Amino acid sequence: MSGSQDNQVLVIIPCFNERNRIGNVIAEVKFNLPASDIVVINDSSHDGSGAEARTAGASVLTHSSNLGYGASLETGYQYAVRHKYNTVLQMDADGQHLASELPKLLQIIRNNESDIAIGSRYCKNEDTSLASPLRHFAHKIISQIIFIITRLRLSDPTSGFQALNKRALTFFSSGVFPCDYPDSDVIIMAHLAGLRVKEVQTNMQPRASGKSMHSGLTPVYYTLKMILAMFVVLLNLHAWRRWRNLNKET
Amino acid sequence: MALLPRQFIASIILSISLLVLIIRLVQKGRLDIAYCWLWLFIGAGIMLIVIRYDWLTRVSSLIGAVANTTTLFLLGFFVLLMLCLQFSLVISHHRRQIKRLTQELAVLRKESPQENTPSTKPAK
Repeated sequence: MSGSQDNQVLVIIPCFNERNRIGNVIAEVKFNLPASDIVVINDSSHDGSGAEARTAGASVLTHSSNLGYGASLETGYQYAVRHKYNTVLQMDADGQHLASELPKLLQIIRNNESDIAIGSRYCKNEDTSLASPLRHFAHKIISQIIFIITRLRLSDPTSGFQALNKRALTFFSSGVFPCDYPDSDVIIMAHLAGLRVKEVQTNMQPRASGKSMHSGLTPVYYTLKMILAMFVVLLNLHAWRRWRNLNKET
Repeated sequence: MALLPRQFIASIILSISLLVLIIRLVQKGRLDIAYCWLWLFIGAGIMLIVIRYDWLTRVSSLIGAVANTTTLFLLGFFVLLMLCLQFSLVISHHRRQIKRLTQELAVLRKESPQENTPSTKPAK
């Protein structure tokens, strides 16, 4: 498996204990994007998710210890760069992100409309049924902060349903990716580094089972973490500007 | 105000014991030289305070502390904070290294010939 050919697409799926879900997700991706390669980053799952992903036909990279969602994504980026992929699509392993929406994100990148395409569940119809009120409130606060800094109106800044082109992939795999808090701060960082960010409306499914990363009081903690992470991104403004100047689009 | 003979002897014994312990740990390889400097500094500092107790009195009057014990507590608290900060720096550094190693291992394991046997080779 290698992305040596032009326009090869890699679908990155970070996975931690998603048995009985990851197999279906991979099957859906293969159905909707048959020409793409799929890599599952098994973040030291202990429920057999890795084996299920392998059986479903994906490449599986296994972390020997649990590093978290951000580090799993970064592993995927490094793998993509190593194998010369031009486009990366990333989605969650819990089945909330619909593989049928991947072509929509991919099209944004292929049309060169943006360097990063973010799939949003609230973009048009403001459907809040998929999120708890607390989580939705956290989204509003984060979105407002992002708007103040970047002038980008994002309705779903926490969405991990994204597509990246080669430029964004190069940036994120250069050691700057914030593995601890890879969320809204990434969007700000990317914008300050001169990458174009576009949000596109995508349908998503409610989580069928398992525990969400944003359940309970987590949104409160998440918001505080995000504010700190965004502040740190702003502190490194010179670094993002330097990257932008060094990697200006030709 | 000076230390009583018994206080002086006890403090000297304590500081020398600390220095000997640190040197022994370094000698046995249980404490890296890179991390022993702060501990050596603490041991030497305690000894210096015992030998030149008048310096502590001067520092106390300089910072407006009524008693020398206040200055000692303040110094001790500051040194412990610095130690915590050093530990946090070391842990952060190690965490980054472990993350990098784990990621590299995951990618290399995938690329190893054993992993790519026909039974496990992924299809598109």
